[in-house]
Formats: sequence, C-alpha cells, structure tokens
Amino acid sequence: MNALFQKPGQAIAIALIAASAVLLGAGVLGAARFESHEVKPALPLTAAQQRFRELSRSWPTEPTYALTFDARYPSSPSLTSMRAAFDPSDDYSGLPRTGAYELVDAYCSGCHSLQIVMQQRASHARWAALITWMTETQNMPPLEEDEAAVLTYLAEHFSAN
Amino acid sequence: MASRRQLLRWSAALGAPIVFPVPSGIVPLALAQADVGKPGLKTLSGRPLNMETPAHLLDDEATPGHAMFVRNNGALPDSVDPADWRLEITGLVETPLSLSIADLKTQFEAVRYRLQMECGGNGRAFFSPGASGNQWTFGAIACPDWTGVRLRDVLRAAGVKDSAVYTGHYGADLHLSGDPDKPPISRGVPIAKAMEEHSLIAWAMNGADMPFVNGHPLRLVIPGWPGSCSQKWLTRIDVRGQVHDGPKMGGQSYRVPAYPVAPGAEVPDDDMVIIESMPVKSLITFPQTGVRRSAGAAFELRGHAWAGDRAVQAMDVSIDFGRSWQRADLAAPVNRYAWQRWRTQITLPQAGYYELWARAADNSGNTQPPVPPDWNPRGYLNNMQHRIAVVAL
Repeated sequence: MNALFQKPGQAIAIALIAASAVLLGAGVLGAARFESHEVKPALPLTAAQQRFRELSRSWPTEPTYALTFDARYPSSPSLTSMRAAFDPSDDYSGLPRTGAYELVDAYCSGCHSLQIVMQQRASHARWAALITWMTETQNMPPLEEDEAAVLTYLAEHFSAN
Repeated sequence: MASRRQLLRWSAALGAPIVFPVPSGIVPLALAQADVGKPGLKTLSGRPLNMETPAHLLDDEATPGHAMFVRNNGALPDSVDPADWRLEITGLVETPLSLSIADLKTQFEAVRYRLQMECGGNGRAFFSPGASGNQWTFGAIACPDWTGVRLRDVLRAAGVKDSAVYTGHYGADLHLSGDPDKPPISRGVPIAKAMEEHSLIAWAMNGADMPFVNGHPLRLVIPGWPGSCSQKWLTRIDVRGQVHDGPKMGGQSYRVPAYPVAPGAEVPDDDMVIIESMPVKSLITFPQTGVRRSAGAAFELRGHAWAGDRAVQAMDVSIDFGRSWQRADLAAPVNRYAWQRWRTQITLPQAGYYELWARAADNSGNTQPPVPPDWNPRGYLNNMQHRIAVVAL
C-alpha cells in the first residue's frame, strides 16, 4: 500500500484532504486552487478578512465525498483520483512498477487501454472472474502460468477497498 | 523498430497478426485516436472510448452534442455511410423489413423530443466496496433533442406477432478483440417499452447530425432506461419470443439483486433482475464547483432533475449538509422523459466553506439519498445527491 502513495498525484490528493480536515498545510498546494474564481475585494480587507482568505485558499474545490465515505478507513483511497494515475506518456501508462506490471501491460493492452484497468476497484475474486470471462468469451489468450502473478498485481493495486 | 510489446498490442487490437516488423514511429491507422470533438469531457478509457461530462457543462436546456457523454462496450465502427445505411427488422414479424434512412424519413412520421439518456453505471465511483466497470461520477447523463421516427411505427409496419415479448438490438460497433462475428453488446427491451410513444429510432440530435461517437447515423433512443438499451450505429432490431439473451443481457450486466444485499455480497446470477427505469436524480449545473461568492449576497443556483419513467415533483437544496432544505422552483418537462429545469436563489449567511446539495423527489414518493443506496455487485443506479463546494468571502 505504501508504494501507492509514492505517486505525486496521490500525495497531493491526500495532502489536500488532510489540509481541509485539520486546516493545515495551505502553502503552495492551496495557492493554485481557487485562483480562477477569485472575488475581487471591493474595499480594503480587515485583518480578520485577510486571515480568512488565506485560510480558505487551501479548501477543496470539490465536495468532500472522500471524507464522508472513507471515515471508517481513512487511509484507503476509494476514489479513482487518489489511485495510481493513468499516464499516456509513460511506457507502461503509469502502472506502478512492482511485480507483474509488464505482464499486465502485455495481456491487457491488446484489446483495451490500460486506463480501463487502472480505474477498476475490484476484489481478487472479481479480478479472477473478469479474467475468466475475458478468456472464455472475449477472445483473450489464456494466461496459464502468468495468471497468478497478474491477479496478484491487479488485486493489490486496483482493489475494491 | 516497434517493440515486441507494441506488436503484441497492435496484433490483438487489429484481430490479425502483424507479421512484418512495423517501422518505428508508424502507428497503424486503425489505432490512431481521433479528436472526437468533446472539449472538457474526462476520458475514462480510450479504448473502448468512454468519456464523462463535468456537471457544469450540462447547463444547457438541451445537451449539445459536444457535451454528451460517450459510452462504448466495443470499438467504434471503421466507417459509416448514411446513404448506404440499412436497418433490418427481423424475428417475430409478419414482414421482415430492410430500410434505408431515406425510407425511415419518407415512410414514417418524424418527431422531435427532448429525451434523457443516462448510463446505468452513472455514480459507480462512489460505491464501497468498489465495483468493476467505468468509474463514472455524475456525468453520464444527457438530455438532447432527438429527431427520428417512433420505433412502434416501424415495428407495426413489420407486423409484430402476438408471440413477441422482447426486442434485441444490434449495432455496427466492433468487438474489442477484432472478432467480426462477436457483437460487443446487444441489449433489448420488453415490447411494451418499445411501443411507447417516446421510444425512437433517431438520426439527428438538436436538429443536426449527432456526433459519430454517439451513434451517427442512426441509433435507438429508449428514454428513462439505462443507455445501453439505446443501441448506437443501429443496424438490426430482432423481435424475440423470449427475454433477449444477447451480450450484456444476462449474468450481472445491467442487472441488480432482486433483494437488498450487504455491501460486498456475492449474489448468484439467478437472483439478479434486469434494470428497467432509472431512479430520480438531479444535478447542480450552475455554478461550477469551487466558485467563490460574496457572503450575504443572493446568487442563482440551478440545474436539471429527472426520474426515469416517472416525473420530478419537487426539488430541494441545502447549504448546511442537509440539516435544512429550501424548496427550488421546478419547471414542467417540455415533453415526457425530458429533464426538468430547477433554479433557486441562494444566500450564504457568512464567510466560510459551504457544500450546496441538491435533492429531487419524484411523483412516486422517492427522493435522493445523501449516500449511495442499494449496494450492488456492478455498481448501478447510484442516485445520491449531487453537491458543489462554494467558499463565501
């Protein structure tokens, strides 16, 4: 799980949620957030107004769905935006470089983009059922001795929780 | 030279082995990703092409083609020619038909309706545990003006036999493996739904050609039901004597448990039922999430609400996480199955962080929950309330 959080995008997403939850860490991250929607002050701001503006710069521009639904599992990324990000410029589309990433790339990208793999939130059993469905009905070549490693990789990085 | 990995990928994608090494830098034409004319949409998957629309791009009364979400199970057709297009009506009919688009236009009454189309998996991203499939948030909904002929007029011209119970729909899209004999998806509807006044065979959107990726030159529009009933690039309608059993009709596709299940439950296929009407739902389409507004000053909040086969009866909004609600103005639909415009004035009482929530109620007493309802294995029918974040200064 720790490897997941080494992606810059996840670090930013987690930092932003942490910032909104405990009102910490505005800084550079927050500065970019509300800029395009600035309300121009009509009058000189009071010290309290100025303080509020600084504080609110780090607040989220999206509603806090993640905070609501992850309350019981605060460290588990449940939204796709917090997971390893699809990256079309990367040789392996942004797949985390652990385990069977080359096999996943080779087997999956023949028919569909890896983007569809990387957005999934599926259990090990569901991944196994998906592979069976693809090999039995969707013309996927059988994985044979590669299947265990591929399933391990998929269930670890693109899990249901 | 292209790498072995690229060759494997192309070979599978094209459905035939590439036996000669491909010079570096040359990508087979069939794989080139075209600009599909949908600025601002979020691509969930390039192949198959799936794109979702941010809520603030859905503010128009009738959704423009450039803002309509894109959902595909298969690959786009290689080419389409409206002049040569044929629609076959087969199966349990007195007279099988083969119609050109010109035949449809000249032999049947053309009608124009504003009709909602929503993906059955819209909202899937919020289910926990997660469900496999495209992780749609809120944007797999559109409500353009469609022009076409009534499906029932065409079916009646063919003469539907008394033994007919269901339709089966076929399109020109291609299986991802390249197998030409394998439809990527073929769903259908009960004859009664097909015979409704607003079920159309459509060739135009908002008075012009519809975007190619949304089904040009011909598609079904079965409003209020999962979008997968509305086959794109429509080539054949087969009238069946049984519930249609094409790809994505059985198993767990577009089906939900027949009884409430605990999140994460494994549900036997035999206990799954086909989704029919979509649930009551609404969107805040203006302003865009993340805006700042002045405290104490009124501003407009607006959006659309819809309810599948039913109508929306009331619309409420909250600025305090649902502790209190205020009633919004709600317009009547321009026709049955059109979404309904709602709007209201909002005043945020003091500087601070707010989430504005929207909640529609239909005419059967159903409303939208604040959390995803009815967990189901494939993550369908999430009609939780939409919200935007607003800071008052």
